[in-house]
Amino acid sequence: MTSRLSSVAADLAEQLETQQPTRLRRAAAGAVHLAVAHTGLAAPPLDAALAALREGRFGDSADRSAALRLADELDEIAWDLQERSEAGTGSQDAYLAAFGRARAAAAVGFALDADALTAALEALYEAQAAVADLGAIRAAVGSALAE
Amino acid sequence: MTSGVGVGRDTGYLRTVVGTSEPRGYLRPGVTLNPGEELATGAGHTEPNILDYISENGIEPIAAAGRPICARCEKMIDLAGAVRLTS
Repeated sequence: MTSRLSSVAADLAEQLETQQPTRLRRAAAGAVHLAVAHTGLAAPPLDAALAALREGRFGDSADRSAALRLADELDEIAWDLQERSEAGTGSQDAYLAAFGRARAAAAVGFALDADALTAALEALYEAQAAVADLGAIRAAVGSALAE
Repeated sequence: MTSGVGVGRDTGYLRTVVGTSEPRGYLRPGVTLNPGEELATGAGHTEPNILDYISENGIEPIAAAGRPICARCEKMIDLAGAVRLTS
């Protein structure tokens, strides 16, 4: 299966493809929590979506839509900061932090996908982009799969 | 946000390099690499990321495409000796 995750960690993507849905959900949740904690992202729509993740309410829902909408809004902020950074009127660090928060919100939204494999592949990809540390994501997934 | 692609020659075969203007070559949802395509990571504009990857991997640049290509990146592509397929 071709995925965005396979572009940065083909072995991890292949490993996920052999896992049962319950383990895929654990892996996605582990990566999501790492991304949210790392970026310090906090917003009411996110709380509801994280509750849905904890409670296993997967698939299309208002909570999932709200998380993905939050990601879009955060992307708009990030792109504005990117333009400012390139124009020399803003900092690259501010842009990267905003980009990371957008990716963390997207990870939450994708983790709620109805399909467990899609949820894991996409949430892990977004999470590794959020934390800019593939090793940390590998460790979080390893812990989740070992439970 | 922009994305682009570069093609180069490496000891007799062609290599295709994909890049984006987002951190570490982040790909937007729904975008995946085809088999054999390589991802140029980096920060800043797409084209320098691709050209840097091509240079670091000893690939001879042939062509580059993206949209829009800014004036500075157009010059970089020209200096690298590649053909611009878009403007």
